[in-house]
Amino acid sequence: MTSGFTIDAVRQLSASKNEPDWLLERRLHAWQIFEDLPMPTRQDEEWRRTDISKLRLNELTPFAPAGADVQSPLRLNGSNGGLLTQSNSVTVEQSLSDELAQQGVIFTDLDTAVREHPDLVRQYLSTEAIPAEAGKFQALNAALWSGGVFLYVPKGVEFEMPVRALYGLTAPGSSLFTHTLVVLEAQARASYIEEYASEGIDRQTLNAGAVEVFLRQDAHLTYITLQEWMGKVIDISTQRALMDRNSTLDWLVVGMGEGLTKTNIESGLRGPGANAQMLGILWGYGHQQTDYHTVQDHMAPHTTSDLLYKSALTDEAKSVFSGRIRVDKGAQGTDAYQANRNILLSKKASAFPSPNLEIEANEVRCTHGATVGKVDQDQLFYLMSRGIPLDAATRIVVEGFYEDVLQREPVASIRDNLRELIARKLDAS
Amino acid sequence: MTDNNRELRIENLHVKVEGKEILKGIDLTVEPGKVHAIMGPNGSGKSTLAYTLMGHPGYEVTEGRAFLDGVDITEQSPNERAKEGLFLAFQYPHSIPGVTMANFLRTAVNAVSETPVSARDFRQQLREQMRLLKMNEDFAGRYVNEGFSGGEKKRAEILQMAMLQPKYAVLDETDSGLDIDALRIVADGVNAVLGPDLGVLVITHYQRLLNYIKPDFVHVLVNGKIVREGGPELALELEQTGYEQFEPAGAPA
Repeated sequence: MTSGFTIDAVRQLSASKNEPDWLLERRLHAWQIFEDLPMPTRQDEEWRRTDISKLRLNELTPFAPAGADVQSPLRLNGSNGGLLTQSNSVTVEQSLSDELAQQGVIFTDLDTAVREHPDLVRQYLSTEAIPAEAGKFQALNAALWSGGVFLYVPKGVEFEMPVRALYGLTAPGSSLFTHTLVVLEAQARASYIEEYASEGIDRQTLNAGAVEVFLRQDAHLTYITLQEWMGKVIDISTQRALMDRNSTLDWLVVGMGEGLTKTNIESGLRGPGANAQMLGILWGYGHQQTDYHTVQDHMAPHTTSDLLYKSALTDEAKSVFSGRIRVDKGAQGTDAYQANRNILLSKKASAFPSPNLEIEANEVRCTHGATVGKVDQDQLFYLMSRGIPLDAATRIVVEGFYEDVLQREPVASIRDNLRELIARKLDAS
Repeated sequence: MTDNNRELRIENLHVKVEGKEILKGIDLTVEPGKVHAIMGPNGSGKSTLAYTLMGHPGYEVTEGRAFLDGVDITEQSPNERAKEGLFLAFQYPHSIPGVTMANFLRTAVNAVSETPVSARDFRQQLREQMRLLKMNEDFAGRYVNEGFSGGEKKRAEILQMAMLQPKYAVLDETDSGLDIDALRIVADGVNAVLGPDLGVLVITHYQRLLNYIKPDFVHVLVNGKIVREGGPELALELEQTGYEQFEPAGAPA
């Protein structure tokens, strides 16, 4: 693979994987859009508080070979229902339990899925959920994705034991284009944990990722997505779920990484009765900048969404949260809730929440709230009066702050892993 | 360290809060095994004394010192004082959402102990103390002071005292907001912890609590100074006469 981002790189990538023509065409189409769209600047509303002028695309290598193993941030061991591990987009480990395989569950990398299940992938990939037209980096991902994850659960198949994937990154100066495609057919029920992790990366490195989720009627997905990029990683990603009638999505986003993160997270409730729970646990430290843009998009009647994102920030970390609730004219009977809570542990940490409602229907219940506060000094004094030193007292308050999200977190079996991860991160800073 | 050093000694303590002098030279010594009561009207500086002893950063000591068993604690952080063996039962305990009583107490017990306490020993101790304070077992799993009734908050303070086993305990208006049944339970809890090794400073507005926790000495605090000292009979006398006799004429009560 040559270095640099060119249309030839797109062709070579596709050729090297022996991809079918439809996919090459999709990549080339996306590449064209990428070239046509200007690089976002702070003049764009969505990028107002996040500066990516330091991103040097032409200094990045598109792909790197597999590197050393990266540990699961949740310290999950074993394959559970299934396991897919990638290093720099190269699949290094892959398994699926016999039980799930026999029921027709597909869990593999997207490259393999293109070969083995072309019709399925073709139906969903870069189509309705995240078309290349969605934006500059969405187009870049659609043109250059590699590796990727494909999870397919046939109609009526249910499993509790989560399948999980780990996207590892080890090559400084490289770029990743992670792409996850999840399809749950009608009445399917599944649980999926996805981790993004790297060791300390000492040079500018990019992940322009995409997650596309399709939930058919009455499907129920429990989805945990966790990012712990360490070092100078810029992550610009879009995650979007399209939800049909009476489907349910329990979605937890965990942000523990350094560097710069700009993530769009959207639930598209397009079938009546669809129900999305969107949770976030975010920890900001060092010079980290996070910019989460969430959308609760109510396109059908009697849909419900409930969002709770909590972030604690220390050092010079900066967190931007813009949460949008959209309710279409036809989406009567919508219930939508949104809360963003921020706690600042240092003088230089900052948080900028901005809720945003676009409501065109008239029979809806919508509430939203955002708060930014410091750690309560009286709480700290109380804890310290019991012998607990200041740093431990602060840690206890922050752990307690996250706890209501953890209590609602849908995969109870990993709750302690999450607590331990949070404790480890708080200890490290 | 000699036995002579075994006392909580406050010497000429002057304290400012937000620039205003509240305590104007307090001298007080609490010995192990003794119960001292500080009584006084609202605004006399009782709670200031409690917070200052525990090291609240909002209270500035401008003069004087405090010693715990010979150790000068005047400049220590609250957690260092706790480790020396000082405890404050808060008048208004703060809630810590998301943190269970059990986790909080275990962290606290380990913070003041020289050696870590095993999970098993801790649980056993906690169960026993909760039984003495007539607390439901689910109490340990509730978040610290979150949604507690007035009586539950005070019992939780006494539970903490029992678990941390301090050398000296300051009880700040522990009777406030309690009905008579709750008061009795709390007082029983305090009495269960009392012993030859614990020195207690009970801060109260009313004599009522002292029917249950018998003081050895009573100190009357008015306008930032101790104006009278005596035995338990002084508390009963104050119940009859009130604090007005100590107030300068025309000053607000």
